[in-house]
Amino acid sequence: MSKSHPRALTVSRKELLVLELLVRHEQLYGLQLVAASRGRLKRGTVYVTLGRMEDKGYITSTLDDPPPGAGGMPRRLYEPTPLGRRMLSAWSSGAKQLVPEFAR
Amino acid sequence: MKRPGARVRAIAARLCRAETMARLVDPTLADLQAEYGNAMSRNRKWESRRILAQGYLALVQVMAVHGCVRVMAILGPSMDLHIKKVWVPGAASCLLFFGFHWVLIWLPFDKTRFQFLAIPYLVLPFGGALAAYGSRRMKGSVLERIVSALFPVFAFVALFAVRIGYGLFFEGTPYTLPHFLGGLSVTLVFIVVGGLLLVLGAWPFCRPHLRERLS
Repeated sequence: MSKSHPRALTVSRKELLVLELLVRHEQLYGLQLVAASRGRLKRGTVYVTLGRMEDKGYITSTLDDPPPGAGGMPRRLYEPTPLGRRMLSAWSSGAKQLVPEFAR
Repeated sequence: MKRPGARVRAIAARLCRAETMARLVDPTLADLQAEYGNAMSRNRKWESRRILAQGYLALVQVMAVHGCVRVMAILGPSMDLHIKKVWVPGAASCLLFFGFHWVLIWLPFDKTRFQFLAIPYLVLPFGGALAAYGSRRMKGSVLERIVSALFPVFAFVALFAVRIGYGLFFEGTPYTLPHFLGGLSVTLVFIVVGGLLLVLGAWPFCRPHLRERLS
């Protein structure tokens, strides 16, 4: 049954956490997401999750300017898309209706 | 000064698609370089080494996770669930055991000693654990987890059967009863001891998952 659903309408717990953090902070780097999640996101898997979310259209990314003088590679900044924001609010309101404890 | 990760990036660029590079490898290495540069500018050598180790470990993890995701995507959602629950984890277990054995063969030490014969057995619990874990991830039943964990035993028995056929019909020297009995005893030991070790490794993954117990 679940196979017939389009992938874009599914969201995992990790993806919800990423969406929450991005909506709260607007724009974050991958490592900032790991730090802000307080251990719930791992450095080794965060980019896989972010890539999957980009595929689903929940977030978008842009290349930041490389650090001046340091010559390092440009870092990628992530921000939520309108679809991602809608998904988060829909999930939050749905969860609050289903489980009233969420609303407290 | 060369930036850390430049060589790794060059190797990865040959192996990975442009999309994988842009989404996974480059951001991981950019983080590594930014953190490393920050630590070096503050002259913190030990911290910079820790950052390097963490960064490379993260890259390995990223590639491993991405590789698994790609393999599962290639195998496809239409693939028979039984293959995902039993055959793929079982093949991973076989690969670990026979791969380890193959590496041991190339190592330069006395191969007739007991230690050499015993070492491959040490990897069996890990093989069993790997197969059972993979099968559990695919929501396989306890029986499917144990069957997938026992794949190296099945492979060993199959190899013995192939060896008999090869010895009887293709090998130059005659295949006699002592040859057969020697092979049979090794196979029986592997079935009993190896099977036990494989099940032992698989056992922690055969208990119902917390999520299954809650649902």
